[in-house]
Amino acid sequence: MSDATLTVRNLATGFKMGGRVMNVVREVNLEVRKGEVLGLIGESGSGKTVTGMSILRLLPDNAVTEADTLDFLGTDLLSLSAERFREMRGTRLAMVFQDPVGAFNPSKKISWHLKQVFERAGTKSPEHAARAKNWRQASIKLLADVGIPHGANVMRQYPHQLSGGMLQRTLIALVLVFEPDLIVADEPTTNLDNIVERQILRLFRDLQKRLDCGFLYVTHDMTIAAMLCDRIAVMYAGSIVEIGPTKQIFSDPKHPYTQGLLASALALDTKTERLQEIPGELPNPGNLPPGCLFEPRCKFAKAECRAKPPAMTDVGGGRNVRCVLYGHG
Amino acid sequence: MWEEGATFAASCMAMVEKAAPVDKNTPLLSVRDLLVRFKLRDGLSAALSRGPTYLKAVDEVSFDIGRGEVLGLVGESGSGKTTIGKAILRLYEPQSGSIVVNGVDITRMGDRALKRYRRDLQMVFQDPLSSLNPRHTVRTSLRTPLLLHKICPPSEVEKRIDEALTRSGLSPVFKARYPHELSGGQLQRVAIARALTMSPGLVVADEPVSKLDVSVRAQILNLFKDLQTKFGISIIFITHDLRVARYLCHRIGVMYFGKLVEIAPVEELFTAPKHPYTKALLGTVGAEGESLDGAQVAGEAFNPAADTTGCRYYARCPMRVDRCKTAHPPMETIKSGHDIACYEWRRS
Repeated sequence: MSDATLTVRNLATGFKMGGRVMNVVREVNLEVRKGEVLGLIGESGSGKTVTGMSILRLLPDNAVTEADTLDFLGTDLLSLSAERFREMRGTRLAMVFQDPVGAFNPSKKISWHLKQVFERAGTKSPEHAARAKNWRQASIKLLADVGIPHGANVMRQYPHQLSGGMLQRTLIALVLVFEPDLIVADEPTTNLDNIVERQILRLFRDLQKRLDCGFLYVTHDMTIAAMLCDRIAVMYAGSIVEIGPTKQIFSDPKHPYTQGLLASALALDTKTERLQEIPGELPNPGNLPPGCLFEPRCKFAKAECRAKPPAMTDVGGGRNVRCVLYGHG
Repeated sequence: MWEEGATFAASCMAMVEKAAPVDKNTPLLSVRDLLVRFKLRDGLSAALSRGPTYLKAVDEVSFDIGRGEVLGLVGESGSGKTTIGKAILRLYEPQSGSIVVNGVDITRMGDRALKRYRRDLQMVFQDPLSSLNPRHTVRTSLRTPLLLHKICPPSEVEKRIDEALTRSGLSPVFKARYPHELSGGQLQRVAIARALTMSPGLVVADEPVSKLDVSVRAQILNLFKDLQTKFGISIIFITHDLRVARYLCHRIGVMYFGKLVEIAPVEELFTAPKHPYTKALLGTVGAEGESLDGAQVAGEAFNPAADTTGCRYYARCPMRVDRCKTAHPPMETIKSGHDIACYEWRRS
């Protein structure tokens, strides 16, 4: 599609462990369109974080990433030199992590962090350079945009003096200095309490609408995905098993894993008498089943599921499912 | 095997009741004005300033648990729910207040009496990997408490371990395994089996599913539900997840920065919450397809180390009035079984 901000085709990432490569992510195909929030959801170990980090090239040295296409607004991210990539990361490609405390230098005031980022942004365009000169005023305005009304006071403080919610807001302000084209957020509200979580989610949605950028949101929480995302990609054991518009996936999940996940999720507004279980456990990445990865836990499993991994099948309505129940692709 | 499990629980109850014969209708456990505080400043810095400062992690909390009841304690991180659980097991020493089990105040118990009491009260922790000794097999981890507390003759220990594992949904072949060989769900089943070998009257479960994968979580929640209905064990279920609390608990207590602000039967709490904090909490955890456009809760949280007077929820509360600033509202019974700490609840 022409309006794709990010296009990923056949991404695979593995880690070198004692002479062999352990594959943790394979056959990942997705695109993040301009102005859309794509949710990447899955359990711990499903490969959602590794997928995000592969795109941003933030994995440790023993990681091996391969892909047919890794295109970001016409730039091939795979062939980009480390130096060029560094220029792009943080400016046009931004990220927000789970732990805001770890993202700040604990010995420097908030103003120092903002100044650094404005100075770096100043090299991007003359317009940005003008803002960099007036970085104090620009910072206060930016902090107000992310819901911190007393920006001048906050800038005089050290990171440890701010609450988790305030730090996450400040981090978002830092990201916004560049007006990025793509934001990757990895569980950015997990460490926050419920009420602050809701505030930050609202902030994300408003900013994303305003910037009209692409947004890849990594989370394990179906409720958050339902509230925030336009489309959802469900990952299981390193592969995307289902991708499509949020509403359709919630109202009519196709893949047996998605169905199980939704059935075993508890609702708040009604009393659940008996929770449905998905039997079994996640497969060990060193010892994956030969066919469909979900086959050992699947109630629809049959002989052909064990023979070879199923391919993605287009089931219409912008939805793709990796399951033999819907044909062979 | 299930039936035998029931007799374990029954014999345990019989034993508890022998120790102090009590009426069936009295609560299993009564907590009154429990205060647990931690020293924030100590040593030299305390000597240089005006003495040590304290953080009240649990501030004069009172509640009861009936026999066979599941009480949920919900709240955000830092609200003191884990501290209450640990104080009930005397893993933390309370500053003041009482914890009465079958007519005996355990805050004043000596070590010997406490050992006996701890047998009847077991805990299941959040992280099963760190609550099992990595160098012990499952068998050793389960056998040690049985021998220490002389639960059964040594000849019956193996049989008892097998039964506990089976009841927790694990095959006895897991006895020979080490913790690192097991998955998170299996480890939590072992931790639950270990608690069950003691035939406890009360289990304190502290976030036992929050570290588990979503697809495994339902299995463990159903295990808790089955154990509770089959053996009538009382459970204090500590969780930050309101959906989990609604699924498992009979009554729910809502904590906010060391204070219990509301306690009510589960359906009443969900359908007719009275405390403004409970309302805000229920508004934040939406159902599927729910939008982000609900009522907003403004303001930052209470600072437990700095603010000591007034209602803890004052800064965020949409219903605050002047007197909320000067004293924390006392617990008030507004209906049988429904208590609330708020001056202004009638306005809601």
